[in-house]
Amino acid sequence: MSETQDISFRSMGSDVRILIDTPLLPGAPSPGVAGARERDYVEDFARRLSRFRPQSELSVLNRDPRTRVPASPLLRVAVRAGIWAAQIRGGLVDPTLTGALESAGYEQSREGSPPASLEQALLGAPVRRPARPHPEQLWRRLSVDDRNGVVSRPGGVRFDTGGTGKGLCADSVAHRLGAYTRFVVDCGGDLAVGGVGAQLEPYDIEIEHPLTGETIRTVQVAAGGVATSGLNVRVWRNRDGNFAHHLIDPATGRPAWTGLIGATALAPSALEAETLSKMALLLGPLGARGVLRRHGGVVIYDDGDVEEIGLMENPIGLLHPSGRAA
Amino acid sequence: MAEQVPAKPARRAKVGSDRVAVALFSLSAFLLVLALLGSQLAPAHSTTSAPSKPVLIRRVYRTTVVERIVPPGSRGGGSSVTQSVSGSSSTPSFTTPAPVTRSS
Repeated sequence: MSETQDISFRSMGSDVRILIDTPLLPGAPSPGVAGARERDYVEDFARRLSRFRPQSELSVLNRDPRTRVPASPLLRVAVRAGIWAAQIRGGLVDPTLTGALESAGYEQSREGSPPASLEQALLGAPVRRPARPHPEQLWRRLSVDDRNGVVSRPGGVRFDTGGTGKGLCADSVAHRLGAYTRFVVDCGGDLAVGGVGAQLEPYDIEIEHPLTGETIRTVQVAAGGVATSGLNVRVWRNRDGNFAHHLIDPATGRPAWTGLIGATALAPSALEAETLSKMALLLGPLGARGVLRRHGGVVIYDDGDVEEIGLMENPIGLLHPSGRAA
Repeated sequence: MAEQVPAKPARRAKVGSDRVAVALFSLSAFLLVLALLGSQLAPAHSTTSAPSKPVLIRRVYRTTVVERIVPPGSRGGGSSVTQSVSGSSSTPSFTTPAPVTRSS
């Protein structure tokens, strides 16, 4: 007999899904109780870190004129995750692009707004080229002081969790589900998989094609993260007739058109997978291969062609592959 | 003095004919048994006439699905909760759709 909890809801402008298998530890709440608890956690996470809510902790931080601002542990972790993601490749995934996002037309949540046609957007898009970090690298001036509970940044620099928030949230919930045999946390397509049971019975994770909606590939995941970044959901047409999307080239401050419309990354955590998938998409086909080679991934070109990169051996994330000690 | 006729060669001929008779008898007995066995086995290999025995494979599944759909607006948006309790005599079943990674 097996009991599983499968809960789905909307949060962070995306579909969130949590699958929880049987309790591993005696005394752990039932999967149903845990599912409701984790839903509350995700909604609280989203409420406190949304840049679209004027009273969120993130919005309060971004409005604060001081350079050192008191911040909750959650906000400090979020800022630290943003700095970590930026450090991987010199600021290619930059958490200080709030102004550029707003200039591109992403001032409010696009929840409920149907996306524009990606095919039309691609026809009118400029010459494809890889994105690059911003030369000023303002993100390097962000810092977190846990001892005093403050976040420091130059006045006027606003922080955005867009590049790392969902992955961080998925990892956080996964960490909280350690008392269960196996689980999947899906925050808008950024997934964290874990539990000792998943080592014996890995999850099948399907990778969806951004244009056709078909399953490109199914990977078995025993532990770690899988994340996808793409242009198809958050693409819109501005009043000037130009198309835009939410993945910004830090160097230009405008939406990046790199020759890729989607990238999926595998990694040891959802946060890293989300960061790698964004990096891959921002770098375009040539750079993506280098980014995704280590843990594996998939890229989708403008014309819909699919390329698998790296070894995606099944199952992924086994602690003792082939029975050998890791 | 009359020369004695040795009896040994005659005995040898008689003994030789007995051995041949025994050998022939054994061979015929063996062939007879073989023929009997063959006649017994032949119908067993014939699949055209004998009706095949029906084989029943039974798998017992016991599944209880409780689904609750919360209408939009009751908790800040639509949601669904599915709890599956499944039992099987053969393999554990996991009936929920596979998680999907997609751009969001």
